[in-house]
Amino acid sequence: MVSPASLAEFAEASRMERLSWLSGPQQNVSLGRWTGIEEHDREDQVVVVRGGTRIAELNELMRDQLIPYGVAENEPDPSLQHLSVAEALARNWPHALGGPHRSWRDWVLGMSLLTASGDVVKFGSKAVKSVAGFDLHKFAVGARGCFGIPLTVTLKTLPRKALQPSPVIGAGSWSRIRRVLPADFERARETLKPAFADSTQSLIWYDGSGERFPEDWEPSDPMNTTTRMLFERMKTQFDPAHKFEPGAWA
Amino acid sequence: MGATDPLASDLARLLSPERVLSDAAARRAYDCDAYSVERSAPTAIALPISTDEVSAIARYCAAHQIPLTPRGAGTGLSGGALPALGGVVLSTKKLTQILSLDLPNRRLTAQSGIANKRISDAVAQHGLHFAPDPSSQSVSTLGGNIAENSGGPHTLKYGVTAPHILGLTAVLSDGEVIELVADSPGPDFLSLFIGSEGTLGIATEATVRLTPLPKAVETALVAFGEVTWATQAVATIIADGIVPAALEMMDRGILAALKAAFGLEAPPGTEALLLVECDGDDLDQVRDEMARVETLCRAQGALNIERAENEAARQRLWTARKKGIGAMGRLAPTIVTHDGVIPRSKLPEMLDYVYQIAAEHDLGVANLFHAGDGNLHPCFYFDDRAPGMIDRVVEAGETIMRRCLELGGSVTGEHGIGVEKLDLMAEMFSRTDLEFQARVRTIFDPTGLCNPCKIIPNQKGCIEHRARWRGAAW
Repeated sequence: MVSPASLAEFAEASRMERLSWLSGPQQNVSLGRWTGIEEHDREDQVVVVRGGTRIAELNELMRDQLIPYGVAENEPDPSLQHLSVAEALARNWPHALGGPHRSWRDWVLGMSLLTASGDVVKFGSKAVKSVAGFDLHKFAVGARGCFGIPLTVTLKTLPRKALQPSPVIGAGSWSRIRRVLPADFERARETLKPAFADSTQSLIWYDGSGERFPEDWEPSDPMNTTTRMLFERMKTQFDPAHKFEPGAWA
Repeated sequence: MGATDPLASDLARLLSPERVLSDAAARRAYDCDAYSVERSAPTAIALPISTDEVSAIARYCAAHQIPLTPRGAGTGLSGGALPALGGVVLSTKKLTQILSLDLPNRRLTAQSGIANKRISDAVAQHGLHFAPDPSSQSVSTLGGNIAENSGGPHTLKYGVTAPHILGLTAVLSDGEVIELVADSPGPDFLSLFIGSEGTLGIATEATVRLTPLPKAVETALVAFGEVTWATQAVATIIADGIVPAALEMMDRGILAALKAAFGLEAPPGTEALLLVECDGDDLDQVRDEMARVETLCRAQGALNIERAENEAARQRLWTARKKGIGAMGRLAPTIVTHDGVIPRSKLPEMLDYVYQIAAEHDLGVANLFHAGDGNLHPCFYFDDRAPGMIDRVVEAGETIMRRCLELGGSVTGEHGIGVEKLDLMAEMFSRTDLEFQARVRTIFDPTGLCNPCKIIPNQKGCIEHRARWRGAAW
């Protein structure tokens, strides 16, 4: 396992044959030494943070502002706030405050990314609204690290006093998350008997398998045909040797 | 009307003769969008009515290596619909059908040429609306909004277009039809497509999220004796954790135009107006929020606060904001509206700079903008017949955009890069960044024919043509 602590060390690491940086048995690159806030503009509510910074640590450093991820009192998965910013963004798991505060696609304003060739490229800006260039920083959301390593992430922050209560209800253990259409939500609750449910996002956290509903999906579902085709083209362009997270989405 | 060119004749066989234009008047009408200082005529204009027809046109263009430029209502302000290399303009003007309405799941599917406002009008009786509301919403199209990731006055609370698109059907430049879905497993290709200015493909249908209309709305127009007091009020409102539905600002230039055009007068001594709207489902909560806004504005020296007591009064307060740009026609024959973004806290400094640059270039300027997002719209008004005037306007605009970058902002908040801001991309991003971004096109656009010469500067095959279209109107 390598743990780069500088851009030069990341460039050196990029020469490796495989770059698995998400936590798990295959991981061979850690972002654990690449942490901290690079810039926090309190008045404009924007933070530039290194990708290895854990969300709980970031929220503690920002004091009266926060990233509303994994922090709800009845968050079904409180471990979310212990993920690094880069990993949380790359996995984009649903969370209890997605109803009132949305999620990573709405918070991420910009990014610098380590590419397969060892370059560091920049997308987006620090402005809360920008349409200059392609939104590759949003594309990295949910890509499970296959696109590169987010070295710095620029995020909109939320004043703590504006934090809304979570609409999630329930308690108990669960092993799967499913999002259904709003019209199927009540039936999903009745048949799947979830531990947690959020009517604002039509999300349920439940155990076991159970009935599928039209157009529902789970984060572990396979890509659809179009996404698979575009994914293969994306890999050809940006990571032809499949260095980043090989096997993901297989 | 009708096909008079070999290309147009071929297109007429794919569609029908009355839905292909190639006469001189049509070619002139489609040689630019609302950014009219640069022009390039197409050879033909195609008006398809279905995804299949769009696909057939794309296949034809790919087979004959003909550039294909999609166009909605042509209200874009950066030249995104300019047919830079000629070829075919594919107009979505006849793709206007609502295909399905799913009320239980609050979603609507429509063809991409439908006007934005028609969507909201169609579902208003059900207490719903399509939240993105660009100022051009009565004519600008769903497809155009997707291409530009359009914002609007209510973006501050409801977001730009992207979060309101649940899925879309698009035709790629080789004719392939793809469907992209929001929140599905895998990398977010939908987010990449939205805001790509029609360079990745042509959206032909989209499913949009319908948002409940708020049950309570409170609107106030606040007058300030200094522009900096108004911008400071914006910063304190946001810092207080309040997220108004809209936070729009107008300066003395706009006030002068409104007075000249409509006789609208602000209280004596007003240098800036701030329009604030709070909304939600709990009336007491919304009123409390607006009361807090008023307290903060008074603390920043507000001269006068007018709160709308009913819907008619609310519409009257919005008049100043909605008619501001139109009113500027009274001040000069030509208006150019710029679009830049800065961190909100830099608004006072930036506005001072805008006035300074306008004075240095001997130009009239007014500002009407989305203050809550830090999204400036300096509007220069001038007589374009005056020698050297256009050069001064372009130079002043670019100087202001460079200042936006120096202050940590962006060269565009909602109008897009198009052709207008190609050069500025190289100042916002490094060469490596731009080369990386350019490769995105090849994922979607294998032929390179879809809306060429946009977003990424110095594309192969574009540089030599640029001299032809740049300044064509001067």
